[in-house]
Amino acid sequence: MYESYVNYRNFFYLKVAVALCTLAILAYGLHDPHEPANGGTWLGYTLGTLGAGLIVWLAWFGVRKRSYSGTEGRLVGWLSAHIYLGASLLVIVTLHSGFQLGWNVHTLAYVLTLLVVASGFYGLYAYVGYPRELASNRAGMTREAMIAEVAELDRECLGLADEVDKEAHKVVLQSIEETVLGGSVIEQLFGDPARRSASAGINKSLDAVRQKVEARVARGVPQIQNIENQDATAISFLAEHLIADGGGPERLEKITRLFELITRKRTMVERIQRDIQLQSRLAFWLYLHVPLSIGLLAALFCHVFAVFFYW
Amino acid sequence: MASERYTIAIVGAGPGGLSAAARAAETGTSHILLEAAPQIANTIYRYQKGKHVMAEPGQLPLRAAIGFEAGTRERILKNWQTGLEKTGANTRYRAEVVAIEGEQGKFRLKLADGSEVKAEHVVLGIGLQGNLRRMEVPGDTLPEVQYQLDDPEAYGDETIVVVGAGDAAIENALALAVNNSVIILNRRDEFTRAKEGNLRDIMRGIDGGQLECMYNASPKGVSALETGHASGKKLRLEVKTRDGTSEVLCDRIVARLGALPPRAFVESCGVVFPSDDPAAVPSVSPRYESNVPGLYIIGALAGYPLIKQCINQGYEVVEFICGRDVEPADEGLLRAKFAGIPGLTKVNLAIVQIRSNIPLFAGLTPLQLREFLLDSDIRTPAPGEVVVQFNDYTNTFFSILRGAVHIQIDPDDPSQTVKLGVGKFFGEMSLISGRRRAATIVAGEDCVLIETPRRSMNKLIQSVESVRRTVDEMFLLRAIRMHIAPDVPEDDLIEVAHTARIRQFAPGNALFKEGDPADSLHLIRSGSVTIAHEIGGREIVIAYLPSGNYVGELALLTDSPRTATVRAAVATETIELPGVVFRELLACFPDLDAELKAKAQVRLSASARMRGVKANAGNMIEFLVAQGIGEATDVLLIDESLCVGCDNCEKACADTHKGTSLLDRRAGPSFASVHVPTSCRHCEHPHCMKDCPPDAIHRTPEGEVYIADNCIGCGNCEQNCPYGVIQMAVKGETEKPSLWKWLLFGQGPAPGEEFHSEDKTLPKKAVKCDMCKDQSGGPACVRACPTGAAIRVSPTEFMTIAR
Repeated sequence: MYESYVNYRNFFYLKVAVALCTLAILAYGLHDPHEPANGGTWLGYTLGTLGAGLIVWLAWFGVRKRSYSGTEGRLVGWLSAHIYLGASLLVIVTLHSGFQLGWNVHTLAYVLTLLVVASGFYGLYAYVGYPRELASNRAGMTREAMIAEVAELDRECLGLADEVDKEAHKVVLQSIEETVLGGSVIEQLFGDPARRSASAGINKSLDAVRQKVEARVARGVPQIQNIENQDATAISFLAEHLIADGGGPERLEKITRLFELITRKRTMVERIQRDIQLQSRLAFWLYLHVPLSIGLLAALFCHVFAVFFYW
Repeated sequence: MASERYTIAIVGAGPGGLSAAARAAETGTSHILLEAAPQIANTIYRYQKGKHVMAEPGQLPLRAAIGFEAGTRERILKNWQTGLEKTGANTRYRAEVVAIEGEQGKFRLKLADGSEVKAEHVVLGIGLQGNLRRMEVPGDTLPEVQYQLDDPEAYGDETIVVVGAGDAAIENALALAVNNSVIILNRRDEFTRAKEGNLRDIMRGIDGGQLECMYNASPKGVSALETGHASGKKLRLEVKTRDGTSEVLCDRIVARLGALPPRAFVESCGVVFPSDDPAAVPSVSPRYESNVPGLYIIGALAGYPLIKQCINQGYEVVEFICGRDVEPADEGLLRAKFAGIPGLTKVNLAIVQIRSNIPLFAGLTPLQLREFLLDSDIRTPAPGEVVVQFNDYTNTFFSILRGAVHIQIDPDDPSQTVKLGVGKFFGEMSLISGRRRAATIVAGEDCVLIETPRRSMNKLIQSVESVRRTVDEMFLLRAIRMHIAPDVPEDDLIEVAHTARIRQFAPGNALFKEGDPADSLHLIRSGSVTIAHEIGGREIVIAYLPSGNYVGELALLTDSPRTATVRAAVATETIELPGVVFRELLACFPDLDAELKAKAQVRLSASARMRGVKANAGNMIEFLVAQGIGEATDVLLIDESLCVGCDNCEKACADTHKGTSLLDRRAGPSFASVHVPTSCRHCEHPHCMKDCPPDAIHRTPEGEVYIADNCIGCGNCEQNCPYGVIQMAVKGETEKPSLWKWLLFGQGPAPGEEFHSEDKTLPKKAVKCDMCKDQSGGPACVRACPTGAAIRVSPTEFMTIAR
């Protein structure tokens, strides 16, 4: 619909990058240095200067992004150039190395370049895919609104559980206290494995409960005895209450409503978890990309310094 | 009860009334100041604590027996109180005037407590806030019965009955319920008048048992319980319910029943209002006398909302009543305005000349004209100077006092001009439609123009019927000429214009419906419309048309019923031309006929194409229109499929606007991945401009609506904006350390982080998006978006978005 960083000015920077790479490959192919290809030939120096210049300019993006009153074009153009020209580094730097790798600071700079570009590629992947998913998961709500809704549901649940009995209150309270949003970085990015399997289990048992309750209502049987409360989660506790309870229609209604609310809350919590997950996946790669870039700048400096110092 | 008799009775102890009483006391004139509230300046008293009150307009000299300068609410109230006491003014509080009878020399003022005050002259300075509505039952004036609530936290462990079902009642009830036991009394069986948020909160509160509600219940009477009553309570409230009468024992009653607008009261005194418009104010003579001899009106009620004006008028009105002539406080200012114009050295002379030269202003009183001139600029452009630029967003109104101007009727050919001479006016098109200037206008020889800002002109149009009529007629003629029949001579159009009617439509109302017989054509004068087809029993919006366009010509040209339903997207005014007249016009001018048919053809095929497009595009138009885009000139949209949530737009906004972000990216609704964040739409007729006492909100020629530095921080615009885009913030100058200092040493706020001045005494002013008008390169939010998700679009581009 709009002009984005991908198709900015009809893929202008993609074209520039492709041209740059083609030119570099052609020159590399045609150039005969009378020695193994390396960074010390005239082409090597040219590619090296180009690569170093690009790296410094690409890193400057961090500064440009924060100079808001800057008038040198829209940031979207800068990002577009950052992505395509950054990708072209793969070719330029590789050719500059002349495939001469070793255990030294020069190769460190090369490897760091590859890592930075790779993390950038992940960033591109995240930027292209996740925003859409994020928006559909939010369905027009902000995260604050979702959290507020959970808090509100918690409050309602607790009020209702109070009217059911002490034990229900205890279980609901415990469920509220145990509701965790976010978590460690790993949990944010990949989800809590324990929670995921628990979630699947609950879904299954909920279906079973629904069927049982429906059957019970159909038969008009007021009470089912001997149900062991094995699982401490609020949902399974309530499910058992629903089946086992004999406290009359009013109480049953309350439990049913409580059950509904808790289920709704669980769905909402899952949406928030998903939101956190997507958001952190959108953001976390920068924690690699930026420090690696700074490392790269340092390594690049050492590389250039070493080359000229030992010339 | 015995009644007293005075030379002057002053009703209302606001700034005007205070000043009048102080001046009367100072000069030894017998007087009484009657105030319904228990304290002076009730409107200002009800401002929040510590609010900074400004003293605009800065250039107007203060003339009063009491002092006034900008400062906090508390300081100003204290100064006035001591100033009033020092002059020894005769003041009576809790003295609500319910009726004014009699005539000059023998007015009788009836008070709520049944007493009567006699006076030769009456000065009404009651403002526009109105009196709080009472319960109107026995005992409704007991001290524990209150009609407003300043600080809910001042009460604890009481049983409080809140009467009313509006927003104020709900908000009070909920706030009081935190520390008290609260019962809310609702006359109906639901809360229908409340805002959605309040409705949700009160229902939650009632369901959750935080407070109790009595539905279908109204108060019947209140009586005080004897001290030491077994219940420990102070009041007995009798409540009428469906089942009969019940009793509630309580400590306090808070009744929030709204306010009675003062108009009915003022009219009951015999004062005539010029129109039914709610904004209309009664017209008064240069001596502030109303149409009732001896009854004077000053301050906001007479159309002067600023404190300083009120104070000056309070002083002047006493002088006038005592037969002393004073030069109006604005005399010097007006004299300065005419200073450069030969032959107009005296203000009175200038006023006479304006009234005789410009027929439009012949019906104005000298006071109205003075006020009008005070707001206006007298301009003497050099011959050939551009006065109005084609496509600019300016909206001032020009009247020609001397000389002439030339209108360039063809934007591509400046040599084609039409002359407009003395006494004529121009600029009404942009004023009414809120759109860009329709033509470039250059000054002729010896040209003297009066340029009037939008607000003053609108005020005049609302309060003087003859001005409204003349401006409307001219608009009609010019609009028809411009948008429908440019080649038809003006004389032929006058008849057409006479048959045309101005129609008003509320948002959502239909101009006409699909299948209706076609009897007229609508030219959209202000606002905008949506065009919809009925598809499968549902109305699917297929197009959106802003003002300056016409609708309904299709049916007239083809002699068939209406082919689509057209509804007002926002409050809309159209010029309706009867079909008969329109067809006659076409018969006389075959060229016009052919041109319109060609245009209609294009529209028909476009509409046929849209029918094919899936309903989604239509829904998108509906969504955008619901977000107020129907009245926007420029709106920020975010493509959610591109937005990575980096908040760079907000950071850029804060960084370029003294530390306050004027947009809220996350807030606001979304539809099919188009998100409309909370950010200014730069409306055609900005709601924020509606009630700005210092007239600080303006539009630049490029269209941006911005708030100038003479903002007094009253918060009216914040309340009037339906899109919630205006905030009150300290506009202090804070120097930020550079990016590198932050990066390397962690000094100061991060780039784009909200930062505010430490100085808490700085006044808060209204801030809103100004589209970064003072920066090159366009709005910072769009410039700083790394993915291209944030874009700004104008009405003409909305349709492409929708597709």
